[in-house]
Amino acid sequence: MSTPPLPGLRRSLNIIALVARWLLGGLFIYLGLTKVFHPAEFLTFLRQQFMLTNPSLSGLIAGTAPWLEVLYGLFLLTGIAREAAAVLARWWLGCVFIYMGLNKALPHPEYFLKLILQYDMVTSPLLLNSIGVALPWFEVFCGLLLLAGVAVRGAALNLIAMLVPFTLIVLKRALIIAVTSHRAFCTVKFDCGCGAGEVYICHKLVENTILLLLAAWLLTGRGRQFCLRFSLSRDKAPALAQPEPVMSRTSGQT
Amino acid sequence: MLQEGALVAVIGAALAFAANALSPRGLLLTKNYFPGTTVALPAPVVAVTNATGVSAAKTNTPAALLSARFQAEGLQLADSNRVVQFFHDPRREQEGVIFIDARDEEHYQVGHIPGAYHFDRFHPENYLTNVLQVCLTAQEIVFYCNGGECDDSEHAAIMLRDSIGIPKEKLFVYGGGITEWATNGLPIELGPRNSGQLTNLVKTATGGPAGDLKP
Repeated sequence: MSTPPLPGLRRSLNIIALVARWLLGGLFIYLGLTKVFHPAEFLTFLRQQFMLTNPSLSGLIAGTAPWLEVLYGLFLLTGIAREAAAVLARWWLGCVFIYMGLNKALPHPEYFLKLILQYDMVTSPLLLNSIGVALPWFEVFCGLLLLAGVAVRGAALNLIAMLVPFTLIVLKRALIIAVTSHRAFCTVKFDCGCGAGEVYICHKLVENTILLLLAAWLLTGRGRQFCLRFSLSRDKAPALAQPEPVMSRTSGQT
Repeated sequence: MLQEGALVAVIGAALAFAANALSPRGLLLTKNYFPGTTVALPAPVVAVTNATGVSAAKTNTPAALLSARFQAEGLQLADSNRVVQFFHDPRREQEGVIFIDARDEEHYQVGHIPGAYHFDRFHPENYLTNVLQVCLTAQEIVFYCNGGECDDSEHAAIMLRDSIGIPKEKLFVYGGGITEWATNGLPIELGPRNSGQLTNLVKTATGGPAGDLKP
């Protein structure tokens, strides 16, 4: 049986978790409102990425999805239905990675190779091809695990291990583009090879931060409902998976 | 948790390679999809100092940069005027001058330069037989893709030069690509080669302007 963390440490971890949840909530609200205020751009994205040709359907999704994001952000901010929110986070994260992985792997995998090449980090054809082969399908695999609720923390850990370096690489590339083309950083738009086509860098960074925080949230042991097998090992939920107390009550909790 | 993460990584990697092997669009691990030398582009703007010691900025145009890169790779850059000359060259009727579209099947079908052969370098096994003979007999071969940052035409030219031994003097790459061609209002052929369906407006697979075409 694992030793429970010291009260001081536990209090610090709880504060970090609380701040992360607030940040996540704020980012979801920001993303939702961005789409609310720029509906045409979101509609174009839906039509191009999901090939939604039916105007009623695409209009319906474009009208409701941003508000659902805002609502979800409010849930996170206020802490209402936290476990349900964690399950939704797991499903959403799973769907995002399945979609992005398939987008890279299926229509034109060679196009993804070109996008990797633009980062000037790989010169060996074997290494380049291996990355081009493994990454997309690995994302699909992790997405399926999250969706089904199998080895959730292992999958989340791998997603974090991918997201951190990729975000830094994309950031570096965007900075180079901004400097060489004398453009403001947030106006830089390029296909980073993330699976969603050309994106504005600031929007991409917000998205990746959200994905990272969601994966980190799952890492703490949340989102256990509707899981086929949350953990492959027999150990029980870690200490952090216990209900996150509100700040005023953290010190007295056991 | 770390053990579980490692296990997921190992199983995921194994399944990823298996999925690639089973996928009809799977990549070949040992194949070099980007043949030719990788030539670093010079900086777009360089500071130069003139005889009076006053520094001035000299701008390298995109065409000059492209030309320098092609030269380093043993290729010749063809600009819009040159390509139009090739298109109206009487030798084109006897296939002394040919055009090769280096984009994928989907984009080729949406619109290509009339009479252009199709060669998708990522799947050469499907196209090589069609272009092999004509490439050997043609006197001048113009490769193109989407233009801009697209480099498929360049790599296709290098691939054919190196694999079937086409002399480099024959090879031209149209830098502006189909985007410039369409923007200039030149004719576009829809569907398969020599379909006879001509238009002067290229459509994209997503219905957007020609500039949205992916290479």
